[in-house]
Amino acid sequence: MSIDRRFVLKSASLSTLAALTLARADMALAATRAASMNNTHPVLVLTNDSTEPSPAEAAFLQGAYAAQGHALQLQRVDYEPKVIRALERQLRSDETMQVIGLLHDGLATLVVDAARSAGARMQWLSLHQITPNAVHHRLLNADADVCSCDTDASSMYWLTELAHVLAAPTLNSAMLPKIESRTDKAISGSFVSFSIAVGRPNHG
Amino acid sequence: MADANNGVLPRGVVQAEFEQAVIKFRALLGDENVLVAADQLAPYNKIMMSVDNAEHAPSAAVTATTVEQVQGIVRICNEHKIPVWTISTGRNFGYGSAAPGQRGQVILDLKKMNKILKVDPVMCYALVEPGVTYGQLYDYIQENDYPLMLSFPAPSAIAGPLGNTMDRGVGYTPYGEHFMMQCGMEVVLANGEILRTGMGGVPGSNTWQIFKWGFGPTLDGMFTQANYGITTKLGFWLMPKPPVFKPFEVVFDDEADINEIVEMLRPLRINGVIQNSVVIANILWEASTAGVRRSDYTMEPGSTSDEILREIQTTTGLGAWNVYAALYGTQEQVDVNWKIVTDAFASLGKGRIVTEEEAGDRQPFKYRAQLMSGVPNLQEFGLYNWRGGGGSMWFAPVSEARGSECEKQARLAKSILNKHGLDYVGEFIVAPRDMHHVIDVLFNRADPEETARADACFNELLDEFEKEGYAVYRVNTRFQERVARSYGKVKRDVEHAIKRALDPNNILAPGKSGIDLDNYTG
Repeated sequence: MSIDRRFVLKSASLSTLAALTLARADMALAATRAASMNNTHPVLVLTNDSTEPSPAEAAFLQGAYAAQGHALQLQRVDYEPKVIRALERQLRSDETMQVIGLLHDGLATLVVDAARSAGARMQWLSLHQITPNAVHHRLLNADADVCSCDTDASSMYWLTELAHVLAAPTLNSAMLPKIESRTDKAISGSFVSFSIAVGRPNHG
Repeated sequence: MADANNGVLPRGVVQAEFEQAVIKFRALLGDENVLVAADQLAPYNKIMMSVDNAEHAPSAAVTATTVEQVQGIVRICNEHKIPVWTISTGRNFGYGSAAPGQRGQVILDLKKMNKILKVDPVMCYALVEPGVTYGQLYDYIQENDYPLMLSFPAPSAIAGPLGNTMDRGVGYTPYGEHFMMQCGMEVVLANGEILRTGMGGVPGSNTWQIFKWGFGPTLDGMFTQANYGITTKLGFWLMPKPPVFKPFEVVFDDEADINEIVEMLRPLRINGVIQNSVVIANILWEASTAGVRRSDYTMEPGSTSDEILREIQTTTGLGAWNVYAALYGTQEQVDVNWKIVTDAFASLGKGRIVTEEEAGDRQPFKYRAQLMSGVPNLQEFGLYNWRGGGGSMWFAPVSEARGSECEKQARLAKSILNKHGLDYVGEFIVAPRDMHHVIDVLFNRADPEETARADACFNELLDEFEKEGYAVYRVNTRFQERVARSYGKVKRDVEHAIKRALDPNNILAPGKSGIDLDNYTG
């Protein structure tokens, strides 16, 4: 799968995207939403509380690293109330920052709620259910479920590219190395991907 | 432009009218407290129900910081016929979360009205604003070293007492029936007037949080699960912290044991030997809150087989049913009651008792003990990882605290859920005479087919339970109109007569509990 970022940045609209494959639409809308933020601010990736990232999470982190390199900040979240309260304070900050992640449903529920409570802007929110045979996506925004369909389950490359777009929406796609993420292992899991804009909104 | 409207309008309101209202909201509240952009509203719309998000998309969200601002918002809504859906902390997960009941309603978010107005450690009560969370109140009590204990629902650290009580939620301590412990509320009515219930209308009274009933009709109850006003202050009683707290678990291996468990527990609850809201949780509830996921055991679609359930029991040590209770009091009281409890369980000849010392930090015992002792935590969010996909709808029928009834409800629920390819993830919260039978209908919202099945399943649960004379005590906004019908026409007529009298423009949360002057035809 290859994404023409110039195309998606210039011409993406929900009605156009609905006609594309979901994965393509995912990237397009993610890029459009994320591009509304300035690209120079720090990017924080929230990670699950597991000791070792799953293959899906690893693919996502690869994309974020490819976009931000060592400037990328990682932060683990878990169900400890003090962790969620601290996150909410971060999300309420006036300092401009992009917070992205690929979390399990329970933690994602808490993060989205913390974003609401903090008054942060949710620029991207999507459900992903990965089974050995298919990947189901459901892309959500404030008005409508933009689309809901399936993609090829044999590769996790879409996650790498999704993270790359969320972490650096204006970078050229050539910046993203072609990472081989096919695997013989049956990959499964349920995740929520998100991008939250923190700080004062960019009116430019 | 970043603040562009998200394109959603309230029912029956044209764009120009809506924009006039938004201009007035901005003048009243300031730009930063009037949210209309899609990315500002998206976090309000992460619903968990079996419908598209579009059906519960807000047109705007406004935040107030004072009662006077709430009065101003109500005035503007009356002028422009704007329906407003009020949330306090917005943590009504699985019942509608922070989203409005109907598409286009303006959300009035009271999260910034978060002052703890009073905690009286002698008379043991609190008075709070809507945005106060249990976590915030817990910290306040700890910082002031007050010998008081909170009771709260499972999302304890982030949920709030006002919202939970107004929705008639329950907790797990002896004060677990939260509305029973409520004492005095302040309500902004649709005409902008402020009503204080109980003793609150008496100038100079110091018994607003002391004596519930006041004089004449007691009005508090009619504002719960309702849309007759906006509650801006709530008083409630707090339990004195006992010198000794002894939580325990009893593990039962057989699904059919529920009958005997309930028959054994009821007299202990009615007699007050066990004072708190006991929980009887099934294997999948406990396993998922301990971090187990369905995909750990099977990738097969559909419901989880009994064989796998037994495998989970074997590998986790959890029971088919897991009873959590606690004793409170002095050491002497606890010792006496512990003997009564252990003798009662011994007479059953089944069930393994686990004490706090034996359980250590093991989950789910740890978070259950915290809930029973008023320590906030978020462990129960692990439920959402069992199947994944973000779908969760609580089906919560009321049951007699009678073993045969609980067994019948559990079997009926499981058979309907399994028929639709979903799992029975349930618990009974045990009051002296009733049970809140709480079932989390978990499903994958990323899969449209499974979402449709969950919707059909929930409808069938409501229908089949109703045929047996059962009804739910609370439900998500998707099904509130349906559930209101279960309670009969006369009740609905009265509810709508009150609505016409108090809110003739139908601006306050139309559709809440099925009360909507625009939809109800009698």
